[in-house]
Amino acid sequence: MSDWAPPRLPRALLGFALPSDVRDGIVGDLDEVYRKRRSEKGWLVAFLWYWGQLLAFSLRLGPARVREIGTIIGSSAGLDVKLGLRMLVKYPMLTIIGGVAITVASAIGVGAAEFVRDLLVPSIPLDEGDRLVTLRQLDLEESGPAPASWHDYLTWRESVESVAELGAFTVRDQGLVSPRGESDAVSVARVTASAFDITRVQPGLGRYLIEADEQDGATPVIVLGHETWQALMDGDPQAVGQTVQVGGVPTIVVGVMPEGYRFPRNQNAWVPLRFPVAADPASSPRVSVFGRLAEGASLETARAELTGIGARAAADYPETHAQLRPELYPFANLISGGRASGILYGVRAMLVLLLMVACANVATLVFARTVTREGEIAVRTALGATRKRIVLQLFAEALVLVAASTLVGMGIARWVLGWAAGLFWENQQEALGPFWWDDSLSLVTIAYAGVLAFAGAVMIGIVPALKATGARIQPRLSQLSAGGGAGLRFGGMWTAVIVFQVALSVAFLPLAVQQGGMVFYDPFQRSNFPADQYITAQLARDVVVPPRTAEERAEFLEVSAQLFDEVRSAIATEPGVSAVSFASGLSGFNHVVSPVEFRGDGNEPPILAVSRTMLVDQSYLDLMGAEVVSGRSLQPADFTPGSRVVVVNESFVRVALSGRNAVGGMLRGPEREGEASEVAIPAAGESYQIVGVVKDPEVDVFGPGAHQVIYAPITEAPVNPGAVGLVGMPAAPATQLFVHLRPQAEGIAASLHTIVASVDPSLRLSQMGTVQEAWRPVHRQYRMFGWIFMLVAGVVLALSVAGIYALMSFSVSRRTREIAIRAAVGASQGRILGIVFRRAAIQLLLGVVLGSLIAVPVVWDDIQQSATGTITLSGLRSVFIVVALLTGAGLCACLIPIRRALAIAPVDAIKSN
Amino acid sequence: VPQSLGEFEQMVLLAILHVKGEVYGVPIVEEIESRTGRAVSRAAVYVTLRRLEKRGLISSWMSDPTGERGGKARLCVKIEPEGLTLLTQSRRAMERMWDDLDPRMLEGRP
Repeated sequence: MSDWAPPRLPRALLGFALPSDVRDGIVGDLDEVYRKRRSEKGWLVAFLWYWGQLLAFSLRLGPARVREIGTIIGSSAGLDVKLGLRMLVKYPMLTIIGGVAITVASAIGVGAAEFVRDLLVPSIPLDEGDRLVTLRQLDLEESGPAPASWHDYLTWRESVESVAELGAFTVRDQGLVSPRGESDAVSVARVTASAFDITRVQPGLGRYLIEADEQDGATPVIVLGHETWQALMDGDPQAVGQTVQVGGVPTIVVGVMPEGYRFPRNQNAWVPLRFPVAADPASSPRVSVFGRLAEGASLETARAELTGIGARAAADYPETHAQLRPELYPFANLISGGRASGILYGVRAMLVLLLMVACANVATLVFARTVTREGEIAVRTALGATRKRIVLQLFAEALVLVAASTLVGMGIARWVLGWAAGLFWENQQEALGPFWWDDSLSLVTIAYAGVLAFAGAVMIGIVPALKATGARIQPRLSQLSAGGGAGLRFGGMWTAVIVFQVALSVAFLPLAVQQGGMVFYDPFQRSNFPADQYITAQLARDVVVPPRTAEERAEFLEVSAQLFDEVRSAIATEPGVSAVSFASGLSGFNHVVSPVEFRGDGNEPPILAVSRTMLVDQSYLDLMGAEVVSGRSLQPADFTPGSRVVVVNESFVRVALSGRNAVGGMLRGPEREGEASEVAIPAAGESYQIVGVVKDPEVDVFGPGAHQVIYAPITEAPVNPGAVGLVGMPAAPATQLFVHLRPQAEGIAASLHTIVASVDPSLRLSQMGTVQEAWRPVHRQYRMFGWIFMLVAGVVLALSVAGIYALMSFSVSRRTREIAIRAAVGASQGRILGIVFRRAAIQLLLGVVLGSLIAVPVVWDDIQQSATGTITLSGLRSVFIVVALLTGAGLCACLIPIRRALAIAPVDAIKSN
Repeated sequence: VPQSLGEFEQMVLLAILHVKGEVYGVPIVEEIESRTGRAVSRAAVYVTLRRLEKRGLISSWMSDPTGERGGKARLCVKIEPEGLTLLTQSRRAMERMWDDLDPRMLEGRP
């Protein structure tokens, strides 16, 4: 028979597709038959026949082969994992540094990704929660969303078929007074009765709201949330039928919802939403609209239908609806407004970046370790281990490290997530997160972290392994057996990684040092300010029907101002109270931030600055101990509308005015085109005279003198004297109450709710606590960020030092023979040191220079401010600290290898080689 | 204990018995094709051989590699006593099914 060989490709594929027990037999048989067929029927027939056989055999025996491969991988993987665990123990420093780096990177990445996911695209824990949708208007002129009106809701309810049920709500905090006189501020939803059908949740007690409750003249009723029922009525099973005061209106409790029901967001009581039929879309109140998609309808079909309805509305009401387009998105996207994907992808990209940066650095260390195992690899190769086998083993070792670190990182992320979420919602002034908030890690995030861990293991395991098992293994084996240094080199890629690492440290650490300062800064310990003697709370007035016209609104604010004054008088007469004051917010945050233009009395050019403005009443500055530094404080005569005087703090003079004389100067709100702000103080185009400078508050959550503040008389409020918005916002008639207590009078805090309720039941006091307690959540949040910065900085520093150590160690071990010969021929220790240290020093220097180029511009503002001589060189100083720290650490990393190099006995070294 | 043999399994076992000389895949396929007069799937034959071996009805071994097969050895097979017994039982079972049939029925007559 002729010597025709079968086609190579199908034969090779056949070899791969067949189980090993029958492979040789079948391939041999097919070879035999192929030759016979080719001699009898020609090449083409035989060729096609062979491909056909490949297909037939693959189909019939392929599954057996797949099972066989699975078994092989299973058995070798077990061994590789065992070896990987042994490596973790054998190289503890690498395990600790690499493990911590990957753990921190994955914990931050996973935590951030999950947090953002929960915030922007959560899953709603209601029956078919993914079919709940939100409807609103898109203002084409403003290029942004606009709330729907009651008129829109009624129109949509009549015409939209893709959304089976529609509901509307508004939310606000209201004071609730129990039948026993206990009061509390509760977030109340005014909802249409349909809300309960849409959410498909049955009440725990009594009934939920029905359409009859929405009719004019119906008895006011309320459905309580489980938490409110527990807090205000002690979980009384007879609660249904009892009367509570809601914003001063007696209201009958008709039901209690089960625990955890806080629809639509974080509400704990529900009253009927009552609006008259709105004939005029312009004056129709604003509401949030939601619904449940009809059976068979999708988001797309509902959107298409809504677009048609929107076009009709634009034609019917061109004055109000020409620029509006209704839009619809999943209810789960309530916070993000359906525009979440960009942020989510951004955070996920950050997770990738963090993990990859950590893994790239760990890969440097692993490569250095792999180099020390060069002999082992060469010998294994000589004994018949394939390159694939060795690479897979090194990959498995890396996978053990990465998988274990990622698991620990995910565990930490899960733990921190609950804590961080609590802090986040506390800062958002919500006692709890929205009802759908879930601290656990989602499967998507876990899978994502898993894929990234695998990719990280490829980077850490495969890349160094491919380098170490390159094609020149045979010459290397010869070199090893001959006693010479082997051929592996710490090439350009690894050098670049180390330089990048050092540069990153220099660039990032100054920022971390600054942020880390927050961890140790305690605003209340360093100051003599008796923060525990000050009680603060938000005082607000609830309304049953919000004022709609300008006249109604003016009247409402006027009455509110009178009531707030009565509250002040009532509290001031209490024994133990030293003084009472109102301001537009809590010092340190909640300020109106607006641009101001300063003109001094000379011919100097005006200074443009951005400052925070606090509206204060007559006693505020004295109450807070803000002593006058120059000029005068605010006087009673200043508290008349149109007085146009302000005082500023020292920080404003120091930072905004660069130390220039402020008293007598004028502050003016710059004119801005197209940006009319009704809350800017000073308002655009108006001028205010600075009459004095007061000391910075003794205590500040961000550090002394952190804020530049303009104190304006409360009568300058853009909305109404006395009843300023929390941040000057006209829509929120609320003010910050400050009560200075005499020593040992803390007990009065408990009675403040009652005092306020006795003035008028519609008044509500919320978020009450000492100034220290009010600041604490913000401080805690900054401390948390400080810790994260410090942790990441520590990891970056450790990786840099470890990288330098690995490089030095590698350099010494590679040049042992050379060092020995040089020592033998009389080279001095200094010369030998130079040889060993030169490369590491160059890389260190290169990294420091590169990093400084990035770091100095970042902290340049601080450096410039230091020109006044009053601010410390914090930015520049931290760069110096970091450079010194890194250089010191780098030198320390060199010590062990240098000692090893100097200890080489020439004769022994040459002999052993 | 194997209970029965399929028709194709019986063919493969019978082919093993018929083949003279070294018994491996190629002559087994040829034997079945020549005796039945129809083409059979070579892959099906090997899958059946593998299955019969797993059931303990045949055994296999590799012969010495030969140059004419690209250096590949032959996977030779032989039938085991259990295989013979089951094959005989299958034949008897089939014969019993044929027994007592009226020959006229087979000729299509009433």
